[in-house]
Amino acid sequence: MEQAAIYREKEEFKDAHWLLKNASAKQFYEFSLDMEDFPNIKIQSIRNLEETGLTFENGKISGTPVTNNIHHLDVQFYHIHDRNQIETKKIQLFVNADPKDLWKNIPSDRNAAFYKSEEDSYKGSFSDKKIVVASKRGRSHAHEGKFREDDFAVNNLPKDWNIVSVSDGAGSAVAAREGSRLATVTINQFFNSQEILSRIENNINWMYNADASIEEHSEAEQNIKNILLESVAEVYQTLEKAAAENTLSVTDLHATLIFTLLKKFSFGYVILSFGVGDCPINLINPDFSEVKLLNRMDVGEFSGGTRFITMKEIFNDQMSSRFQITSVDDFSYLVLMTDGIYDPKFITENKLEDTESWKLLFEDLAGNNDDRTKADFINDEKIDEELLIWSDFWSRGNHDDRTLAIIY
Amino acid sequence: MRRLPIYFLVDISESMVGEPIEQVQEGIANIIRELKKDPYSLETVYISVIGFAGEAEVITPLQDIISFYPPKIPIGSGTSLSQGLIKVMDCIDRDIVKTTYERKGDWKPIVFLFTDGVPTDDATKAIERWNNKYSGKPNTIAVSIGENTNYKLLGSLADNVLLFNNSDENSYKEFFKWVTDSIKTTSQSVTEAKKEGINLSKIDSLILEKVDPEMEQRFPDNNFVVLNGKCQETEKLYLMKFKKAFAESSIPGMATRYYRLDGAYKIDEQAYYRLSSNQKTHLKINIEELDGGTSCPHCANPIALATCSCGGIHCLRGEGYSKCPWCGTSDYYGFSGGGFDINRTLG
Repeated sequence: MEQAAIYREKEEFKDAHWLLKNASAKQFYEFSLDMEDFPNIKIQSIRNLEETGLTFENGKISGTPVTNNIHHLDVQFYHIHDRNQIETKKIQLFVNADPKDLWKNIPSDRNAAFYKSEEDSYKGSFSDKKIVVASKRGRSHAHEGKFREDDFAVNNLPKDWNIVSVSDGAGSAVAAREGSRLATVTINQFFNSQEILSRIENNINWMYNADASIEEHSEAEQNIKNILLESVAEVYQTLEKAAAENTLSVTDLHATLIFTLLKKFSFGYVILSFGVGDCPINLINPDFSEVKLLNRMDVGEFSGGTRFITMKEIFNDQMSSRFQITSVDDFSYLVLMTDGIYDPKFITENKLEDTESWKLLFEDLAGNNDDRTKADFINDEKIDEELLIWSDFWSRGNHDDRTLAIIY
Repeated sequence: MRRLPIYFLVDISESMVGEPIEQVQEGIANIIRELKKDPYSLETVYISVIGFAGEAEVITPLQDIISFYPPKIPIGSGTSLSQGLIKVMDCIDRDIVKTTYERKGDWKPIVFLFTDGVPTDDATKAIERWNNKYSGKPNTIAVSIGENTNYKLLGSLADNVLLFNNSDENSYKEFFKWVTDSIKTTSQSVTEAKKEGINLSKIDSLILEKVDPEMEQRFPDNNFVVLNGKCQETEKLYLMKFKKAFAESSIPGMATRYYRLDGAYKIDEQAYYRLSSNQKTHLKINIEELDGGTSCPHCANPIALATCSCGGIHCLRGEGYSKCPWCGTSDYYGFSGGGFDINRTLG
């Protein structure tokens, strides 16, 4: 064979661009080098391959790489008509990390203003039912040593009333962790009043009194909504005041808010609910055949489309549609969550009233998941700890703070 | 799962041959390497590479960082920005998922446009379509490689126009690091800040400067002359690129412009024809303006710049009888003393 042809074939081989499949750390890898176009070229060895944990045999790179890296490999080859001349073709092999190994978990600064623990949980009674709540800092915040922005508050109130509130602070707001804490504490505090609860109860008795006229019924309903409106207005004012005291703007405290006020009456449970933002409140009936969404979700075309309790513009004429008064004989679960749970577990808004999606969630909670973590609602001595561990589930691309409250 | 789609719309015209395209290729490989270390990006960023010369094509379809392998970037003749824009718009139409009641949409896509020259065709219509239908949808960053682009034109389609002064290898590295950091901060902010806009990483003004698209701009002469040669031995194409330089002239204080050889480069022939515009050119350059010689990148013939009476440029072993790989005519080749015009490409 002519020297020029040998030269040309070797050059062509060197120039050929191989699209090497990427490897992943700790996963078996196999890739065949395509030599079809180069019948006269033989690969003798691949240098720097040992460091990857892979081997080269019979035209195939295979094995299980240990760690992620980018490897510059030298393919040592010769032309069959010029066996003594070993030449080199350079290729790159990418070994992907397991994303789970890349996330850091940096503690948040204990000395910073508005310090908040990275996780929190609660279990207790809620009317004649029980409640468990877990709130956990998301991976995105853990990775940078930032704070958990979510918060929650649960209180047993006078006259057998109960309240649970959940808030999701906006990551872009500098003091959102304080906004979410203040929002939940303030709303619960507002209802910790004999007087206010009596006013609500009187109106409820009218609303559910068979003898009441349509007008009386709707007046009672309006009265309740007015009290609820007072409560959220107070949250807004408190946040505004806190912002001023700390030389912040109220937008620095941006946080969503959902809450549920519940009492068992002779005719059934009355549930008052409110929501601003993209955190759902869902009520599941006793035989799990129906799920209702008890609040309006603020979801935009992009995820930036949400709203916060810190926005004055929510106090408009559509405000009353944010309040809901529900009465049921019984229910199996009442669930409140932030989008850190909702995004990975439900993905889209339409799934929130789909019983199949909810069954999957409860199967997941029962241990049907990759990590085999479960929250046991029957033997529930440690349910708060269990729910906290469960809520650390892995979901690609979803690493927001997670708060989940379940009344059962 | 929501994806953050990133489109690299890369000018792959002939003037990009050699170092710029190698650096872009290397740069994209570096971007990928860095993003692979970042958990946000690894989980959310999807990348597509689209090239435009006379024609445009998708070099790498939108895919995640996990499976992305840096492509070989081809070269074509011409700089049809409109073809490039049309291609990226078609991709956005096809690829991007929008949020609905039943479906979780993607994050707002980001388009990085890299170009080193002025379009060789009219991009008005494509820009009009862009602005009517796509403006505000993707975040667009136009990066001018060198000063030879039309800032006003780039400013009419991008939120940000940046000028990259490509002086050395190190600035390319810094520059692609900036692109990587911009992608990283954006993928972080999408997960956490609920913001829509792109977070451009702090710009190192020495390497990259923000350009005012309204600024008065004087276009310098072409910075490059590119010749299209064919190897006599292998009949394969190569490009010879010459870079503008100035020499002292006999008149004091006056400099003479000439073009100094930058290098001769092999190109992927099939891709070159596919990506080149059909536009017939009669661009000429006088041989006296070109300085420097090199050997053929394919066969190592010592002379890469020989020209036949048909106008074709090819390589040559030396003086004597030889055959032109373009027209097939055999003739005696000798060294020319005087200046004459030869064909150049669109660049």
